[in-house]
Amino acid sequence: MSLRAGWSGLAALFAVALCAVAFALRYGIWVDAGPGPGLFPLIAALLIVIASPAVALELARPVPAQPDTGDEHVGTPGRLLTYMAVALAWPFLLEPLGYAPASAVAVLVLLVAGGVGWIASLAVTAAAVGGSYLLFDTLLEVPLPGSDWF
Amino acid sequence: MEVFDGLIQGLGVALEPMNLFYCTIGVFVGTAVGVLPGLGPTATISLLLPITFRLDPTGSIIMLAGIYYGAMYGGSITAILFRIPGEAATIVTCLDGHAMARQGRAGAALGISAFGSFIAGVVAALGIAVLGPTVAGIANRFGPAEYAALVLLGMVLITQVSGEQSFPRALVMIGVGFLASTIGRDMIAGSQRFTFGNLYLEDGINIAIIAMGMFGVAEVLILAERHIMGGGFRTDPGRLSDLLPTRQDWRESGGPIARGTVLGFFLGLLPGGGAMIASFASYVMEKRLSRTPEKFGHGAIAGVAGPEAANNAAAQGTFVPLLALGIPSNVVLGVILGALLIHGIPTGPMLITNHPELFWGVIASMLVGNTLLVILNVPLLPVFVALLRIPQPILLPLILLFCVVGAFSLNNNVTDAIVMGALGIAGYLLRKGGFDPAPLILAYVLGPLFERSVRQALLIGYGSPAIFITQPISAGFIVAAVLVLLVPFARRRLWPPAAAILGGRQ
Repeated sequence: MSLRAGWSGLAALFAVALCAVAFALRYGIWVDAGPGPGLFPLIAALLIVIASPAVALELARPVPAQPDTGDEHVGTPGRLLTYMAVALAWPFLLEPLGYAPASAVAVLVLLVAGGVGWIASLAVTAAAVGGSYLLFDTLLEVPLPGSDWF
Repeated sequence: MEVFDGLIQGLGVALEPMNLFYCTIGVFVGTAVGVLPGLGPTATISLLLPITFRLDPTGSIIMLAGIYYGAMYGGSITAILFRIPGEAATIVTCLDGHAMARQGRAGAALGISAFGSFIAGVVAALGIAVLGPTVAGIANRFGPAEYAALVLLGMVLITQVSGEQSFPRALVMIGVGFLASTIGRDMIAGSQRFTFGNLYLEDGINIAIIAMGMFGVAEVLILAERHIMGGGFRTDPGRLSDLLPTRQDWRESGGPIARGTVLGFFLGLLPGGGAMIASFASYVMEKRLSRTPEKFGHGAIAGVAGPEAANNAAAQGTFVPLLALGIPSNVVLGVILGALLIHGIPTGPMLITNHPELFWGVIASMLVGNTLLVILNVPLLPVFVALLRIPQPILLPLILLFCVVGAFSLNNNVTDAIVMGALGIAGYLLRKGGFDPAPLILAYVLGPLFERSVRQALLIGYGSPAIFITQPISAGFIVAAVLVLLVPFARRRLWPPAAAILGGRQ
């Protein structure tokens, strides 16, 4: 667990909860016949607001050092950022490029970023994209996104 | 004797060559869709519904039921291997099942899941035959107050299922899940909440998108950051005989499977209960009963055996309110009810009298289907486990590929895949901050049912919350929820852990 991520996450969730309280009050907490549309968003947001100080206290407490497991290299931000960028960009490419080309680009980038050689990357990309296309589009008849040229 | 005769008649129907064929197709397709993220049993059953028009009613319901409980087992495979729950009911399996896989015990986890599900399935099928029609009468007494109290109990149980996460963090995540479940059209007033004029948000976000993002994509990002050499898993032995659960595993799993089966069966009978509540109720119970509760979340086999037995028993138990009362407990059963109605078969108390071949045939097919699930899946254990030997730099892009296709295939909508990617990054950041997404997802599933039930109950009670404590069933669930919440605190106060006592003496 990262302390900075813990504090950032808590701050973000707390801010979301405060905004939700404001919106919930606007939706209406109680109407003539009973609970209004805002009651449950308010309860949910208050749950976050009320529990947040206890989480903040936990985060403020010193944490004992974690033992080193020895089998991993922690801290490869370049690889992580590549994965994040691909996870976000991939769906945006599906419609303009079509499923197969967009997925081929995304899988190839991830394989190369993971240190897989070019020939192996190309072979795995072809097998994965071709196989998934056959499984979903041909066998299961899930219409995958296509472009004008593919 | 009547039950025995009925089962014999049912076995005669279920073992007819064509019905056996439909059952095999059902459990095979169910396992496959459970393994593939996104394409869940609801979508599959809906897609296959037109095909069943050409079959006889018994054959079609046998096939659809096979898909339903086959998907329950299939969902466990990806939950154990890749921490991607195929179904909401298998979220709990991720906690200890995946931890076992990381310790090189994926085979034992998958094996105990298969055998536990089989035992639970067989016992539940017999339970349906013996107790079902009688116990189903209780479901008739369920109104909004009872639903609300049952879901409240479920919500309280969630706080106990959060692995290493503290109680306040679990509360925060429940709040987030609950808040997220209110996005979209308000089901009673019809007004929009948190949609900001966006059409995509009007129907809320599909649970599969959240599960795939928060579990699947987030797990990929965490593994990508760690850059573990090799597959990232301690390797399992290759032979099937070495993969199966050991005697010690069976000793540790026997009790949890038995308790999970009974708990799951009875929760399955209750409308609104279902497989998900059953699985995490079983997990909480096993953790409470265990002499080594600290092992839970770190690869305790009881944390896989109990919930897996419970979710399979509950999945089958849900057929009792469907067949005996015509009440579908979840969306999948709603679609199956649709299939029955299309065939002109009204469900309800008269079903057993008017269509005994269908009622007993479906129950007996569950015995046959669970046997087929074990026969199909146990020999495949080495294949499933071999997936973990794929080097991580190759495995992670493949998991992401299946998540993207799975997300898109839900509604043929690219926005689903975009939201899943964004939620994956949010899930990664939350997990880095020590927030486990499991309570969030469970609260997201239960939230709408809880809100609808509470609001309906308050409308019936003219705004007075007294309705929740004046109804006996509802009051019972509320007392149970309070006990679940308070007993651990009282236990710590009255019986401090041995370590604390020893620490004090030193």
